[in-house]
Amino acid sequence: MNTESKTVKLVSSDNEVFEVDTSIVSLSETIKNVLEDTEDTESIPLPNVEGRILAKVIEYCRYHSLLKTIPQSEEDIERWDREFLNVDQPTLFHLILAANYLDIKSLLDLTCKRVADMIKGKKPEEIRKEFNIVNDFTPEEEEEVRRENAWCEDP
Amino acid sequence: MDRTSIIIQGNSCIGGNKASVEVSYTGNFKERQSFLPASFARRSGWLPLRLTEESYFGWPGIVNIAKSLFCYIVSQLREFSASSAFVACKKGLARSNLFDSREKFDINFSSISVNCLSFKAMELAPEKEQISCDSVSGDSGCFQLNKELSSVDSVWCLPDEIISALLGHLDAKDLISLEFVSKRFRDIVRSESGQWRNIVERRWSSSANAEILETASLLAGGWKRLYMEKHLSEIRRAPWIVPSKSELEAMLEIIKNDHSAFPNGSPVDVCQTSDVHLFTNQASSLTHDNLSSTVYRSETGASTIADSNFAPLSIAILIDGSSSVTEEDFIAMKEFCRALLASLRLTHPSSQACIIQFNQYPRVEVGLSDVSKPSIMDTIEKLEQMMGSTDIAAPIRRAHQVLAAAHHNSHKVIILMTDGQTHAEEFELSILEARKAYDELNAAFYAFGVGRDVDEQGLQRIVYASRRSSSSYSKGGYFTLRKLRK
Repeated sequence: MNTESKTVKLVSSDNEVFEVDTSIVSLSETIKNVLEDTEDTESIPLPNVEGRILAKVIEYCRYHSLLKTIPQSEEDIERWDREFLNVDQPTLFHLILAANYLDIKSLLDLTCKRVADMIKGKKPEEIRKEFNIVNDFTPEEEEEVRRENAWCEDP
Repeated sequence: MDRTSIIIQGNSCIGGNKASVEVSYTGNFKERQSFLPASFARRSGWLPLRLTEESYFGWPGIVNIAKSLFCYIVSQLREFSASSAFVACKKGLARSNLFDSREKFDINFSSISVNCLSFKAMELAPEKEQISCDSVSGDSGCFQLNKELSSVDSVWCLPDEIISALLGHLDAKDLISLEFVSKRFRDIVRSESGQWRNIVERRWSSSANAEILETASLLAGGWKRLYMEKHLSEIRRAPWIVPSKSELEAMLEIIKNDHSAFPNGSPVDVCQTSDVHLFTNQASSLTHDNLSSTVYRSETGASTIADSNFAPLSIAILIDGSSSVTEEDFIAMKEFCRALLASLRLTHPSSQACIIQFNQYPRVEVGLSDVSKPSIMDTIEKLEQMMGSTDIAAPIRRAHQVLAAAHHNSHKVIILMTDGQTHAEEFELSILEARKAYDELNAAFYAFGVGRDVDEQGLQRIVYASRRSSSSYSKGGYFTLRKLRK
């Protein structure tokens, strides 16, 4: 199937329509499969992705598919990715879900790494604060975790 | 024309932790619009009734709930619409994505909605709702109904699967910190033994004895425990690299069970003991009891049959007593020797062993005798280092001779413990000897590197070159017993 220079309409959950090159969105395994399975698909509804997130995803796909024709240095790509992920937490989490749903491995890796970086080197209390998580351990349970991990100096 | 759809939102990876079930019914209730609250009337032609169920019993349960709920809703619909929609929504609404194009049930497992917001809250903040119900392409069109809720504003709302994925980017300390954060994180981290495996492999895969990590993790009771063990052992024994307890046990397993598929007595499930026995250099640490406490829990049960199922072993242990070997190195070799014999006594009591110390000449310290004989241990205990130069080929040849007299049914094993400080031609000769021992006696050859300047490459070459010798896959391997961290 010739996917070159064909376009497809992606419809977000809030009915925003994005017309994009199929070669760009083929970065998404999910979309790629739909395109391969059904000839002449004109529009693909993506009920799990809202418009503003889909816009970000397409931005990501566009840049990264452009890299195939216009190679950039590792540093530039890294800088772009970092800039791209300079978003608030809800957007980041939405992006993760979208990347997961659309099966874009590189984006999922990138976003997961971003979240991991937010966790790295933090103490439990700091992690809770960062992500607004409630400590739901009973004192006994907490003690149990502490006992099991006593070998590690200062978690 | 009636349109009905059931959408189950949730994510399979969430393991039935939370899911919402949404049921909507559209169709010939248009005329009943007037009964509905204003917010529903806005959705001309729509009567979405969405019930959210929190389920803690997995997908079959959810699907059943969906089915029964749907039947219930259909039968109750008139009543519902006639009364108040608040009833239907009282349980709490989640973010909804209704997607139905055909007149059939549409079960969709792909999206997630976790945060429940009460209907009332939504009413209070109607501007947050973006309700659209456009018919995109005529009759077979796609109806979408969206509520933009803050359902994924927290890391909490990511499915377990994704949280697991991001653990891959963390190291041991962060994983442990996460365990302290909350129950859910603790459970995710605990269930992810794969992440601990990655961490162990990342840290030690290029270190000594990487090929036995897998076996050691089984014996340790999981990758996390192995990490803990190795981490502590490394700190305690720095700057030396020595096998941790489980690694040592893994080596013994491999030597003993070489002829059968590992594991013979498969390791037991994770035993939750908080104290860790570490293999230390001290003579006291590797006694029967110590060894049997963890590894052989399952094997002791099977040991009676183990010995009848598998032929006994005939082991020749070659100990390097040359001057290049330090006192600590020599102790480490004796320790290993004792551990091996102790372990053999336990699982292969009818095995035989002989102990040969060598410098430029091999000296048989203990001739081939039953491992159960108490005198063997005493001899090892009293073993004095010979000093002198080194010849590796000669003791292998000697071992070959000794093992040739062993019971023909037994599995022959040659264990060479040395620092490998010798000439290049020595290695070539050793390869030939090891090869010969394999060809004639089917003897497995293991080399153990010991010492500050151990020639690991040379020793590995002996092992692997002698392996290549025959068409069948020869047994044997190289392990590090004690070396300096570079």
